[in-house]
Amino acid sequence: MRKMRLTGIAAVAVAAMIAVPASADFNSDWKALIAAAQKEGKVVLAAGPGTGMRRTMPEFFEKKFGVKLQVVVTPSRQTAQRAIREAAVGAQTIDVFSTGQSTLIRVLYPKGLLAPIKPLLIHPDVINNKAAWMKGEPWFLDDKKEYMFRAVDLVIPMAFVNTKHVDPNGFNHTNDFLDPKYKGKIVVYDPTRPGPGSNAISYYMKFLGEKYVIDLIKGQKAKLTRSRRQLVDWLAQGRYPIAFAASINEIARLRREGFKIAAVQPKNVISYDAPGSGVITLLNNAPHPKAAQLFLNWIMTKEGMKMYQDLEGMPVTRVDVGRDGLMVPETVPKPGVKYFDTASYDYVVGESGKLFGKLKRLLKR
Amino acid sequence: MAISLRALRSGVTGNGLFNKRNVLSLILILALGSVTVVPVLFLVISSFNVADPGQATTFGLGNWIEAFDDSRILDAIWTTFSLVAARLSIGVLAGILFAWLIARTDMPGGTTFEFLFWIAFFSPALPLTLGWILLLDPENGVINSLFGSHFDIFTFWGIVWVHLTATTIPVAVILFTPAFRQMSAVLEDSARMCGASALGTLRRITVPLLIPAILPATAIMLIRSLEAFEIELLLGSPVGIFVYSTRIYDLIDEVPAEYGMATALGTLFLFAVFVMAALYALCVRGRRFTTVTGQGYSTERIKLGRWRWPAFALCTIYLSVSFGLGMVFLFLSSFMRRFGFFDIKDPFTLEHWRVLFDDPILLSSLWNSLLLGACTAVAGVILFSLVAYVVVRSRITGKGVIDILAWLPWAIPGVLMGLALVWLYLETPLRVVFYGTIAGLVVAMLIKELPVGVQLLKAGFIRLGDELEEAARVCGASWSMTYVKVILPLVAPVLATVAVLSFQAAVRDIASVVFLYDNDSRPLSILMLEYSFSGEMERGAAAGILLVIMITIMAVIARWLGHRSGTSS
Repeated sequence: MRKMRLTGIAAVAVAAMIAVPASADFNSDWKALIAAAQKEGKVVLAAGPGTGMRRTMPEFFEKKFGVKLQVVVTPSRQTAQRAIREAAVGAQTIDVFSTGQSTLIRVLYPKGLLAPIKPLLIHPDVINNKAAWMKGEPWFLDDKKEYMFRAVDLVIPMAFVNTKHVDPNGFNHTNDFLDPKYKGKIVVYDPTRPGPGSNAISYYMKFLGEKYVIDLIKGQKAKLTRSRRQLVDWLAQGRYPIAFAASINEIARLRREGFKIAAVQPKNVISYDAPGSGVITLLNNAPHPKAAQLFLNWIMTKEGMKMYQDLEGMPVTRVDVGRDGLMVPETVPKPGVKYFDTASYDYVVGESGKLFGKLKRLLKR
Repeated sequence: MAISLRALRSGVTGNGLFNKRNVLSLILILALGSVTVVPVLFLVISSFNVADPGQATTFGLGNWIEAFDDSRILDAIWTTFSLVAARLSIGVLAGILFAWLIARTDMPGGTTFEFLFWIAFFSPALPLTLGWILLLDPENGVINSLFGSHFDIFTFWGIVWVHLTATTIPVAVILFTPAFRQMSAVLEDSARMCGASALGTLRRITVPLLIPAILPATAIMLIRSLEAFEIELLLGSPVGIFVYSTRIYDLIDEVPAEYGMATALGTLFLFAVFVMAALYALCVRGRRFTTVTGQGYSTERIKLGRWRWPAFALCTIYLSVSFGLGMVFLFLSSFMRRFGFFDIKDPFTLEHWRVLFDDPILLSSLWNSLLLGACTAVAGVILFSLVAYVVVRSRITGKGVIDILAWLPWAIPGVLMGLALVWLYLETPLRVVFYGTIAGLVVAMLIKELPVGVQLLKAGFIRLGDELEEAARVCGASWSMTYVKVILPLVAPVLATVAVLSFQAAVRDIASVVFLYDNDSRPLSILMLEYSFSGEMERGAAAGILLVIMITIMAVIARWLGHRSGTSS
């Protein structure tokens, strides 16, 4: 089964290579890069919980380039702290870090711990293929547009509901969540911790006000949890049939297992989009710079992005990979629709932090 | 080395300040101090550093004021001590009873029960907790569904119950049993001859005699209870029950981390350890606990008579409920498509095991765990026994200091100790050898297990009379020969206990190694954690079963070796 999948992906790769002709210069540069990467032997990629990148990708990458891809799965905050500690003494062990925007923009970037990626991109399928990208080029989140590659653009529905217990059509307005019949039926990923919960609830506080958030969380006696898995288990069991800030991979898994889970988005508030943990960065003084450069170029090709989308189950910012196989298609941005970008640099460095601080005080427990 | 140690034991001295004894004492103090005092100093100094991470150090009381001004922290501390009190009061009494039944009475199946307690303790707490959720979830728990009962695992007493079954009672039995077994039955025989009942003998003779063993063991459980984390996180956090360790974890889980406040809170451990060390010294001061001498040693067991089979039934029922059910559901969970969901299509699958064995990291993680466990066990037995011997039986100058140093690693919660070591490794040339390597993990585990190993072995050495050692020396044996051929075999069951505890701690531990491992040194426990992080609890359970199997094999070997050497001695 896995061999079949690898063969399929390889076929896509060949097609991608054909689509954008490579120059003689590129070919020699590419070969030289591969040779240098092989000399370094490996590239270390740190990714947060829920990543699917440890499956298939290391084997595929090594087979293709003869370079090991080591994927370390730890909570992003721990990886960030590790990066800070190691950089302080010049003993870096991580090359590439895939995570959410907040820690990167608020901590690692201002501390100068990230290296620019854009100047390292040499693959024609990445830099010369404007039609492939949602924004006409690889999407960078930072103010200089070269450090934080946004691999994912997800539209996040306000909530997911278990249709066995709750009618998904009953949420035309955000106040519908405040109906007393839903008291004790709502679970939220803890918004007092940095992460998807705080991202979501801060956003709703911005547009719907503090009172709405208090009514929703405290008034409705919403259950707060810090476990992605527990949140969706409760949703699936129907113990809490309405879930805010559920992990998209977990929702995808529930659907694969046959649970009837629907996304609900009231019409009185615009949806927001976010990269999830799909912001890819290169750490400064990476221990394997050439292997990291090779990985970054490859992951942004059609082949790399397709594999990333398949493994992570989230829509990537490269549109030519198609959207087949996504179990939560509601998260795919619709062309022409305007979303509020909670990962934009200005929002994260400005208002988002203040909203989060206010949220923590409001919900202190 | 042998000559030097002989000097230690026999009190051979040179002249003046730099005699052999003082120099050796200094070396020991420096060696032990460097691995125990440095992390504690790091903790204390950090608690007064009010500067942001990466900025120049500025000292102040801000972290302390902020930490203890927060009502949530005070609530968490109160909850922690309430949980600890509930767990220990039940756990220690139950542990004494089970250990006594196993080691001192003629209850059938004692050895098997003891072994099962070991396995219960070795089983990783995280998947076992999931097993209990599966059974006692208030809405979907199997027991509640089958019997219409209203058990709720997400409560204070739910947390106490899981701790009792997964950690407190098994560890009490493991720690108390060797001491019970090693005690000569002469005094018990005398009590019985004077007409005392079996329980009366236990209360008035056996337990008081075992105070030096029971006190440190209880202290171990107390400290472990204070830093207990996973069970509280899984069962407490969802319903708003927070404990001290969860709050510390929150603080260092921020980016940038609130090290100052976390370390200020961490210093509570320091006080707890000093109080315990002082209490221990007070309890054993001026009393003699020697029960193993050259003048006759009886190991005859108490005859329970008509209570033999009820005792057997008690142990069987307890282990079946507390351990058997948990294990069955741990095993079951590794075959469930989605843990706890019996009513989905095809609820059982081999997929998790297949993917686990397909994961190229599995083999290297298994190997790393074995290496880590074996190195920690071997190095631990050597190091801990030497330190314990010096503290209990030598006449070395400053052995009191060495004793205190051996307690110190308890003064830091595991997570903070891990952080302190990261800084130590990173900031010094030790980085090349220890950062991200198995050697670094072994050192971390040796430091972490130092107090447990040393206190257990001290309890073993304290009950050995001088006569056997003196007899060996009179017969011409060197100190090292006496140590290896006479002393160590007499404490062989304790050594086996220490070896297995060190092994299992090393292969199970997460808090101390989570900051120190690298991709090439990742042990199985971390792989299990990574699966859990990724929401793949079922695969994590499968990895947990592999861990249990590995530790069980180690336990069988250690017990066999311990019994063999104990018998031959």
